[in-house]
Parts: sequence; structure tokens; C-alpha cells
Amino acid sequence: MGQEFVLLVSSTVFCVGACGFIIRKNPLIMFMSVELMLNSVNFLLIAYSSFLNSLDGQIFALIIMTVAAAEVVVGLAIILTIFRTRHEMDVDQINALKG
Amino acid sequence: MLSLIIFIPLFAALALIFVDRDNNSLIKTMGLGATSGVLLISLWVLYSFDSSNPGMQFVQNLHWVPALHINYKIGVDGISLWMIVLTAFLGVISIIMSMNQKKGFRNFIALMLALEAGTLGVFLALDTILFYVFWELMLVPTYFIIGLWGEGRRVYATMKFVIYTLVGSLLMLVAIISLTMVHYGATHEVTFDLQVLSQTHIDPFMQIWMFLFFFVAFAIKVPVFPLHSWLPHAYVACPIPALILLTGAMSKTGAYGFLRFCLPLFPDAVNSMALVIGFMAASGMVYGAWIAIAQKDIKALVAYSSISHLGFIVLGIFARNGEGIEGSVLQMVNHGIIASALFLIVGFIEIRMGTRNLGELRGLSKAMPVLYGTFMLVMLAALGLPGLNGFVGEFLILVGVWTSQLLSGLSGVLVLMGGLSIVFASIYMLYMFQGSMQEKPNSEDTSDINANEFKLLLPACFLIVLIGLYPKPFIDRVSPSVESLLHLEKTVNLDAGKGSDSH
Amino acid sequence: MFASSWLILLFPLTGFIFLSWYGKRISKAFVGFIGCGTVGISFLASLVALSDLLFLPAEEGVGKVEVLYQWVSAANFKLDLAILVDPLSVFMFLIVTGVGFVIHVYSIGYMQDDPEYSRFFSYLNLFIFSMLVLVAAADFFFLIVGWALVGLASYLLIGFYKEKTSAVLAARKAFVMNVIGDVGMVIAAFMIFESFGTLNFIDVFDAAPEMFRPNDDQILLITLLLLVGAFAKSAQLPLHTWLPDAMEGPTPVSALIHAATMVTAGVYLIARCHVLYELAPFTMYLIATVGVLTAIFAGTMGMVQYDIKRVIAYSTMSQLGYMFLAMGIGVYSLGMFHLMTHAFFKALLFLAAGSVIHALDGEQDIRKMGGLKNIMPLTHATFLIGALALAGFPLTSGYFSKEAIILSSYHAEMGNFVFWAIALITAGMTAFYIFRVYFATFIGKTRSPDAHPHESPLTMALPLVFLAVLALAGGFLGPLVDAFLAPVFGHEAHHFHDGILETIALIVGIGGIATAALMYQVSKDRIELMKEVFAPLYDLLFHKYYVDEIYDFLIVKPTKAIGTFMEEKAEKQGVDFAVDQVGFQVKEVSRGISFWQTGRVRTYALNMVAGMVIILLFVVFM
Repeated sequence: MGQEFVLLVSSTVFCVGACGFIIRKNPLIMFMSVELMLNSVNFLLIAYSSFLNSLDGQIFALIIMTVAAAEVVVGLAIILTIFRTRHEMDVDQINALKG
Repeated sequence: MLSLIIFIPLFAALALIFVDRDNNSLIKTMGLGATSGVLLISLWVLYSFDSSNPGMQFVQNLHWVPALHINYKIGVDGISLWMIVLTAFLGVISIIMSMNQKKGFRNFIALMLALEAGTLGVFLALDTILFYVFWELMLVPTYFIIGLWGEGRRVYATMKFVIYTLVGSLLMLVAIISLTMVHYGATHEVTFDLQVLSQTHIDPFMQIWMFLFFFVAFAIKVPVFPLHSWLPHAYVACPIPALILLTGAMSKTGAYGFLRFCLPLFPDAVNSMALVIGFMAASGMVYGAWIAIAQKDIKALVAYSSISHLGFIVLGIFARNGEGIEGSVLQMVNHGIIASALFLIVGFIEIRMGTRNLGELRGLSKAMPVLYGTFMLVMLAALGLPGLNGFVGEFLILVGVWTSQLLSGLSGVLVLMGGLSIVFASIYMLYMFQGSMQEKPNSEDTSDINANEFKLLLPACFLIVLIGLYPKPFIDRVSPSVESLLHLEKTVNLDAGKGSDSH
Repeated sequence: MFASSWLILLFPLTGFIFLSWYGKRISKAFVGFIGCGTVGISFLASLVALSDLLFLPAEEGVGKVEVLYQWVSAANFKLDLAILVDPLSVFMFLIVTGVGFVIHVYSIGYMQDDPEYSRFFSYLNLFIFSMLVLVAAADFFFLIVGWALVGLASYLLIGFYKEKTSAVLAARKAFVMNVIGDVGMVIAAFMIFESFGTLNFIDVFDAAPEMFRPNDDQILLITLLLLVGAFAKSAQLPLHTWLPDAMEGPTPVSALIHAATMVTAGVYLIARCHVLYELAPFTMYLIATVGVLTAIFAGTMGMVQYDIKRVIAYSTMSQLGYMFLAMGIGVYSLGMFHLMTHAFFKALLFLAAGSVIHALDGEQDIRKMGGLKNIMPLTHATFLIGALALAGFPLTSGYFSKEAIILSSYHAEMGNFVFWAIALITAGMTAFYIFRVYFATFIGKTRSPDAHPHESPLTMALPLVFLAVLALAGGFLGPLVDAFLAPVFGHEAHHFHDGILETIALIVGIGGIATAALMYQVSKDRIELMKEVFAPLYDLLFHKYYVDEIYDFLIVKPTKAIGTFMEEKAEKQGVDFAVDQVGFQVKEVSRGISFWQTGRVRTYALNMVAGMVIILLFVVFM
């Protein structure tokens, strides 16, 4: 695989994730898109650690995965609480911070 | 010694927080004690003031923020001397007048003391940042006093007043900082000391906008037409005791600022803008007087008349000659005495009659002969009757305007506007006085002013006659500083080519 | 020795202060004693000043300036508190304190029943003090101070009956007009200071001839501005409307202030500043013109008024016109002489009228009087003497002074035929209207059956007699006055003698008296007939040429309207609105921007992505 291929795939997946986050209303789907974005970055990092023969990329990918896991825990807990109180699965309705 | 003037009321204000809310006698003692102490010290300063010395006296200089070279520097000269005495005097009167405040007495007195401290600090400060700090310090107590103890649309009035003044102050802050930066650029020395900065040569273009920023701040405070629209609301909403300090002392800080900052620091800018500013001031004189004629609420009437009289003061300053400036300083003292006496009288009438509307007041002289006499004297002083103090100031100012080189293009017009505002002053003052005091009374069951209230008015009456009969001692103490102020500008101007290394 | 002249000013001042403070606590008799006493002492002190002046050696100049202390020293403006004692000021001292004293004594009787007795005397003393300051001032500043204080005293005394709305309004009118005059004089003072560097009379008058060519713009402006003050104070056209209304004050006030002293201040001013006026011939001409026009104008109005005091007030305005005419054509000492004789007979007329009013319990309408000749013989006799003097009947004081002016108006260098003609016609009218009053009040049937008139008490009668004597004999003081004032004016006034003109004037005068007699004695129906025939003219005169209404329409109403307008439009909808708008617009912008904060996560995410893209573009392309 060449660098261009990796870059292309990574950025495509990232864009897909970003668009998914912006377009979808269901919080769970939005979460999955966030994971997609994180994964694309991971992919890029690991590929480049191989290209550049340095371990930094892999270490950083591990850190990202840890953070992603923690974030998913907190995020799912928040979504569950919101669902239990409001019975809404539409993110747009949660706009109490509207200024 | 001079610092005591500022810190006695300030510490008293802070100490009042620890006093029990209901311990009225202690609060009264502290309030009166603090203000009387300040008055005594200021009288001592007056007594020991050296009339022949044009420079700053009783100077105290301490390091405050060494990293930024901000010092705590205060001093007194001919121009600020009478301001200090006036403020101290009005402080005592306003505290005595506050004794009737029913709710929140402790807090009210504390805020009044803080206001007095801030005003005194403004007059004494010789470091630009220190000046700014005291300038803002005047605002906070006023906000609370008008907002909490005021009447009518008090929240609207106080918000307008504070935000309006704040805009000006912030512009002033920008100018202060850039002033220091210009000085740094020339001498590689950071200082906020006013006397050092006065020697700085500033390029004319820079001068214009720095002058304008300072000007806006002071013009809002005085106020100068057309930046005056906060005044009617604030004055009408403000309770009388605080109003005495507001109109008597606080409004003068703006005029003082012109003299202390604008004239010495930015002579070229003053040269080019004086005519416009003079016209603004004169318009304010006529405008305020004209609207006062149409007023039915006597408090609003006196408020608009203040706009008119303060316009005189600003006009005299921008004539930029000895007679004009000395007349202005004298008129600052005069207006402080007269306007506060007028508001006291308005307060007395309101307490007894429950109304301030000229339509409902009538024939009060029958029941209140003593008030009739004192009101007449104060009213005559307000309309500038020759022989009393108001006329001396107005005459000197107009002589200054007439012979001014700076205003020579419009001097005739300006003097005529002054004359017109004097004629209007006689009209509205007679409306107010005759309307409330003469003709047949509606009811005769009001009581005359008692001895205590008369004692509040007595010093004002005494000074009105004294300054009218013998103004020389007042002006003699002011002259040397004014002369050096005018001379300083010429020196700075002459040094235009040489930069600021004139000392 | 001249330092004692300060006493002239000091006593009335102490009288004022004492009476205003303690007046209510002491007996009426004591109040009267103090009130008159202070003025009496002033008069004596004036006599002392007179003798000092007469014995002053010629080398020491015309008079002396007494300085009390330096009053102010601000930059170039220096002023001392000083008085000037010279023939002109001593002349005025004597008239003011002398006639003032007599009127004070009269007031003891006249105001006897008034509850505010002490206030009256304190104000009267204040007035005397102020008038003395005015004539004693050694510089323009204190002249203005005295000028304004006199206006104040006049205001207080006109508005003395302060529960009466008409009096309050009249006082206000007088005061505001006075302030207008003050402003004119103040501006003149500025110009004088600018040109001469000082406000001191002696310095200014010494320097003036060298400094200005005749009719120079500067001197013209100065003299015209001073004239504004003079006209306002002396009720000349167009600042005359306050004088008739000033009759709201008690009669002694009208006698003292609006006849003998205050209104003559304008004449005094021109006499004092004659050096300046001589350098402005145009202004002199204007003075004479306005004077003579006022004289005839007032004369026409005096012919139709019913209020006895108002008729006399219009005659004052008219006679002041004569004085101004005299000043305008340069015969200063004749003007001052007429000032003196006028003070005598006009005060006499007012006091006699007051006697009638007092006797009839406040009635002032001549249509309701009549037949008082036998009931009040003393008042009748003194009033007759006063009327004869006013009309210029031969051998009365008024004859000598008025004749001299009328003659000069024709013969003097600056006089002309028109002045003479108008002055003559006015003299005829004067004789007519004063005798109309005389006949209506004293002769014929009694038209006031309800009242019980009686002769006045001694305190009122004595002054009447005294003034009557002066009104008769004062004329012979003419040459003395002339000689006394000559040093001030530089020369004696030229006395003209012209048999033809004198005879014409005599005929006109007697004709006026005769016409009055005819109309009011012989047939009362004729009056009604005349009124119908001349109805429009009559209306015009009765309403004082509608000048008051014109002023109200042109000046008073617009001023009030503009004031209200400014408050509504300029303040509420203009400046204030602008400031409020600033705050309001900031809030609007803030509200507009806050739409961005939708509260939705997805929009925020979109913002983040968009921002990132923009930054990337920046990085790539810059």
C-alpha cells in the first residue's frame, strides 16, 4: 500500500464519520460516527508509524482507543439518562442551552 | 496627611459593615465623625496652603505597583484646593440630610462615605492610573444609591448613568495607557505620573484622538451638551442627600479633568477643537435653561438648570485665559453651593408638601417665612444677581470668553448665548420661586423649616453673600496654579521641535 | 473727609438687615423710626459730602474716589470696591435720600394698617441702599451691581402684595425686563474692558477721547448696549411695558421708585457716561429720538386711562422721555435739572393720589371719584400744585425745567424742528391728562357715595406740603444746579431765550388745561360723544397700542412653546432617544447573533467542521 492510499482511505472514512455526525439525528448513530472518525485517525496513525518506522504512532493510537472507550461509557450513560427522562431519541430536541 | 482625607471616609465606610444594622446612633456618629474629620483636615489644608506657590503642595508619593511603575501620588494645588474643601463641606451636609433615611440606613451611609472618598480621590490623584481608579470608585456607590434608594424609574436611570459614564471612562483608559506608551516611546521610561507626562511632547495627530477620548469621558461626567441625557433621569431619581454630592462635587470632577488633563497635555488639540467645544458648552447653557422653563417638577427644573450652569463652567475653561479659567473654578465652587442649597430646599418642600409639582404648590411663603427668605437668597444667587456669588463667576467667565484668543471667532455669539441663558435663568427661577411661594396658599397647615434644617442652609447663604462681597481670597489661591497651567502649555508648545527632554 | 461718604450707603443697608431680621418683633412705631431714621442720616451724610465737595480745591479734580478694599484680581481683571464722590453722584445722593426720606415718613401713615409693615420698610431701605450703590459706583461693575439690586428691590416692592396674582405677575415682568437690560450692560462692560483694560470710570473717561474717533463701531456698540440697560430701567420704548403694571405696588413705592429715583437711573447713566456718548453722535440722536417718541407715545396713552396711578405712571414715562431728549441733544445739566424737579412734583402727585386712594379705601378709578376738593383741602391743594408743575405752568419748577428742554430741542446744536414739535404737542397732552384727573377727582359731584373720605393723617400730610413747596420753589434752583454740575459735564448748559417759542409753549400748556376743564367740567356727555366718534383710536390707546399683546404673541408664548417643544422633541425624542437607541440596538444585535446558539449539538458540530476547513484552506493557500 502506498501513502496516498492510506491518506485517501483515512480521510474518506473521516469525512463519512463527520457527515454522519452532522446528518443523523439518532444519538446512537452519532456515536457510531464519532467512533468511525476516531478509527480513521487510528488507521492513519498506525499506517504512518509503519511508514516512518517509529513507535509513536502506535502508542498514540492506543491512547486514542482508551479515550474513545472512556468517552463511550460516559456518553452512553448520558444518552440513557436522557432517554429515560424524556423518551426522546432525537438530538435536535435537546436544545435547552439555546441562547 | 492628605491621604487621611481620602481614607477616613473609606475606612469608615468599610468599618460600617461590621456595625449592627439597627445601631442607628453609632452609624450616625461614625458618618458625622468621618465627614467632619475630613472637613476639618481640608480646612487645615486650606489654612496652610501657600498662595504664592503655583505647584503641587502636600505631595505624597508611594510605590503601589512597582512592576508597572504605578505610584500612589496625591497632591493639592490652587485648582483642586477649593474642590477638596467644597466636597468635604458638601459631605457633611449630605450626611446630616441623610439622617431621615428609614430603610437600609447603615448601607446608605456607608455608600455615601465611599462616594465622598472616591470624589476626593479624583481631585487629589496625580498618577493617571490612580486617578482612573478613583474615577471608577465614584460610580459604584452611585449605582447602588440611585438603584436602591431612588425614586421613579430608578433602575433605568442608574443603568443609563453607569453605562454611559463607563463608556467614557473606558475610552479614557485607552488614552491613559497610550499616553504612557507615547512617553515610553520617547524616553524609554514607563511612568504614569501626571506631572512627568505633562512634559511629554505628543505629535498633534495623536493629540487629537487622545484628547477626544479624555474629552468624551469628562464631557459625559460634567455633562456637556449633547452628552447630557443621563442627567435628568439620574438627578430626578436620586435621593436628595446623594444628589447634593452628585451635583455639587461629582459633576465638577469632569470640569476638573479638563483642567488637569486636557489643557496641559494636549494644547494643540485644544487649539483646534476649542471653538467647537465652546459652542457645545454654550448650546448646553441655552438648551438646559430653555427646557427648565417648561418644567413643572421642581427637581427636574433644578436639574436642567444645572446643565445650564455647568455649561458656563466648561465654556470658561475652553476660553483658556486667566479670567475664564479662574472664573470657572470660582463658578465650580459657586454652583456646588447654590445647586446643593436648591436641592435641599426642594427636599424640604417635598417632605412637607408631598409633591414637587408646581401646579400643586402655591403660596407657601405664608406658612414658611424663613424658608421664603432663604429660598429667595439662593434663587437670586442661582440666577446670577449681581452682588452675589453667581454673578462674579459668570462675569469672569464671560469676560474671559469675550477676550479669549482661542474663541475669538465666535466670542460675540457665545457671550450672547450666555446672556440669553441668564435671561432664561431669571424666568425659570421666578417661575419656581413665585409659583411655589407666592399667591394664595391652598392650605395653611404646613410647618416652617425647623432650626436644624435652617442650619443646613445657613452656610450656603453665608457663602453666597461672602463670595459675592469679597471674592478676592478665593481667586488669589487659584491664580498662581492657573497662571502656571497656561504658561506650561506655551512651554510645551515651544518645545515642539525639541522633544520631551525639556527638563 | 470723604471717607464719611461710606456712611451714606451704610445706614440704609443696616436698616434693611435689622428690619428684615427683627422687624416683626418690634413695635410699628419703632420700625417706622428706624426705617426713616436710616434714610434721614443718609441725607445728612450726603449734605456732609456736599460740603466736602464744595470745599474741595479745584486742583484736586472734580471729585474723589474712596476705595475700601481690592475686590478681585484675576489675571488682567482687577477691581476695587470703591465709591466716587463727585457733583453728579452727590446730586443724586441728595435727591434719593431727600425724597426718599419724605416718602418713608409718608409710608408710616399710608401702610399703617398693613400686617407686613416691617417687611415694607426693610424693602424700602434695601431700595435706597441699592440706588445709592448705583449712583455711588466708581466703575461699571458696581454700577451693574447697583443696577441689578435696584431691580431686585423694585421686584420685591412691586410684588409686595404677594397673594395677589396680578402683583406677582407684574413683579416678574419687571424683573425679567430688568435682567434683559442687565445683560446688555454686562456685554457693554465686556467691551469696555476689552478696549480699555479697566472698568474704572475715571480711567475709561480719560482714555476714551484719544482712543476712539467719533462714531467708531466699537464705541457705537458700547453706547448702544448701555442704552439697552438704560431703556429697560427707565421704561422707554420698547422696554416700557413693565411700568404701568408696576402700579400694583403700594403707592409710596410708585412714588419713590417709579417716579423719583429708579426710573431716572437711565438718565443718570447717560449723564455719567457722557464722554462716551459724545463720541457716538449717532447714539445721541437715537436717544433723543426714542425719548421724544416715548414722550408722545406715553402722553397719548395717559389721556384715556381710568386708574389714577396709571395716568401718573404714563406721565412719568413721558417726562422721562423729555429727560432722554435733553441728554440726547447734549444739554445734560438741563436733563438732570428736570430729573430733580420731576422727582419733586411726580412724587408729590403720587403721594397725593395715594392720599385720595387711602381716603377712599383703595379706590383707584377716577370715574368713581369726584368732589373731594372740600373734603380733603390739603390733598387738593398739593395735588393742584403738582399738576400745575407737571403741566409746566409758569413759575412752578416744572415750568423752568420743561421749558428749558423744549427750547433747547429747537435751538440746541443737535436739536431740530421735529423734536420741538413733538415735545410741544406732548406738553399739551400732559397738561390735558393731568387736569382731566384733577377735575375728575376733586371737582364736581361726588361719585363715591359709599366711601367716607377724610383728610390724611399728619405723617402723610407733612410730606405732601414739603414736596409741594419744593415743586413750587425748586425751579429757582436751576442756575445753582447748573453751576454745580458744570465741572462734571465740562461746561454749563446753554440757556436759550426765545420769546416766540416760549409764548407758543405757554399757550399750548394753558390750552391743555382749558380743554380738560371744558370736557370734564362743562359737559359730561361730550366725553361719551368723543368716545364714540373716535372709537377705534380710543380702543388703540386704551389697550396701550396692544404692545403687551404683541410681546406676548411674539416673545412670551414662543419662548414657552419652544421650551416645551425642546423637552418633547429634542430631549425625549432626540438626544435621549438616540442614547437609548444605542443601548437598544446593541441588544438587537445581540439577539440577532444569539440565533447562532441553537442549542443543538449538530449545528455546533457543523461549525467546528466548517472552521476546520477554513483553517485548512488558509494553511494550504497562504
